[in-house]
Amino acid sequence: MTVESLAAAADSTKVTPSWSGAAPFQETVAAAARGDEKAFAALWRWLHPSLTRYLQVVAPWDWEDVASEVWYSVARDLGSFTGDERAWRAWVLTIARHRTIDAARRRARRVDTVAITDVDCADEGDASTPVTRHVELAEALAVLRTLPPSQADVLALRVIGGLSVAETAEALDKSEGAVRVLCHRGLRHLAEGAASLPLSSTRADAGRR
Amino acid sequence: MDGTNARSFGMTTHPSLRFGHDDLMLDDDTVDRLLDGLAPADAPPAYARVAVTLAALRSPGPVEAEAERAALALFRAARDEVTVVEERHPVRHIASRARGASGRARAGLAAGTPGRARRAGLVAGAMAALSLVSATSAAAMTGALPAPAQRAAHTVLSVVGVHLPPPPHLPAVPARGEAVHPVPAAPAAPPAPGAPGLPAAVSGAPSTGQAGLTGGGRHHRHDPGATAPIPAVQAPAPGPVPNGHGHGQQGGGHDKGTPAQSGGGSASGGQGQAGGQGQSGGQGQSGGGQGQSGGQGQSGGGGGPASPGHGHGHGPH
Repeated sequence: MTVESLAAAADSTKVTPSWSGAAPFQETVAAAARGDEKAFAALWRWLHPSLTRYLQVVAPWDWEDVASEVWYSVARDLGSFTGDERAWRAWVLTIARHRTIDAARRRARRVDTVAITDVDCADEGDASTPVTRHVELAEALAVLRTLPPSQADVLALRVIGGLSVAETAEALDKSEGAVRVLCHRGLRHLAEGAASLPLSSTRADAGRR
Repeated sequence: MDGTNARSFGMTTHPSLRFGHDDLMLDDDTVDRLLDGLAPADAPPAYARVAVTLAALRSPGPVEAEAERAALALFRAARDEVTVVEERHPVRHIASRARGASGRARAGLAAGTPGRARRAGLVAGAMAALSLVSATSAAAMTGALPAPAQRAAHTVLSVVGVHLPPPPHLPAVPARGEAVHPVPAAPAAPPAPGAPGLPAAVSGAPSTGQAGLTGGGRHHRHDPGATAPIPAVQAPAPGPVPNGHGHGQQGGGHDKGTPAQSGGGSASGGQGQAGGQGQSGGQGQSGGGQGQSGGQGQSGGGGGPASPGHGHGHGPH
């Protein structure tokens, strides 16, 4: 995959695109709150990819369980939500953050175990060979996890969750200035370690030629 | 100005201290564009790889059908299991409920609530046990327990420093033909002023004998003459005597006397001294539960001359 195609794909289909369900968003939410499974499935399909990626960054040790807890909470509290699709996205990601904190506390109280879940990418070929999108995503998530937690959290919400600065600040209970500073520092950290980024520099450089 | 000239003018060439040479400097607008999906070709050169990484993070991923089914199982579980208790504790056991719900959904079973019923049972049991302990403690503190239970509680808790009131009456230790008090042989005492044949303790006369000394009694002996060991006296055991159920009053205290003086409890004041009949017990009620009977064997006027004392034994209630 070339850089141009990757960038075009990223521009055209973001991980959390605009709502494109059959029914208007608020009607879908209302139907899900009444117990309509199809409406809930549409909401789930729309937000679940970005939710799982966010959780893989901030709670990589137990992100599947945390995702289940988040969707359980969403399903239970759907009746109390009011707002548009951006507000709903911010609401779900805020729940995800709270559940992540709960999971981290539980994890601190129990004996740690080692989960063998990561895909070993060592045999996928060298950097010059085309790699699958899944591997690229896993590597990108791994890069984001190398950042300090606060920076990784902010970048994940801004990039993966698609939240604005104000929404991110509200979700993290920080000021907008603090969110901007964390974005700056996170991007700078990534750029300083660009040589170790898993995505081949040859592809990025090739895109510039 | 090259590096040589810079050094010659005392200027540093360290990259971090030079203005205008920070390739990683970003303005807010560029940051927002990068985070919103700036194409790598349009990104600053130092951030091209970062842009590619961010694009990979934003790339759409596959939606797994299995995960969607599990999510719908969660949705059904949440729809069916919303209760007031769960509203108060939304986080607790969510994972287990979610996993259980998803497992039940896969197994085609309805979502039940055995956990809630078990939890309610445990809470009810704990409340009942707490109530029972509280009621028993209150009864023990007020002396309202049955005599054996009160005595047991008194004995056990006195070890740890908690003083409970003793049971109102303790059964007398049967006379076994041996004097349990170390009173020396006393001459036959004249009958008490009360009923003949009864010791003074029984008849209400001042008792200075061992009446009132029992094993658990606290005996403050005030008789300096009694500090010397006194041999036990073999007293005749004429058998039971009417009205001779002398209860040595416990006093609820601790006996500080010699073992021979306090052991066995129910040190009857008579025992062959009062009226010639043994085992007439003066229920030597000592004030404050401390049998301060000072004398030995001077009960009911039949007390021997062993030692003067000032016991405070009283007759039976």
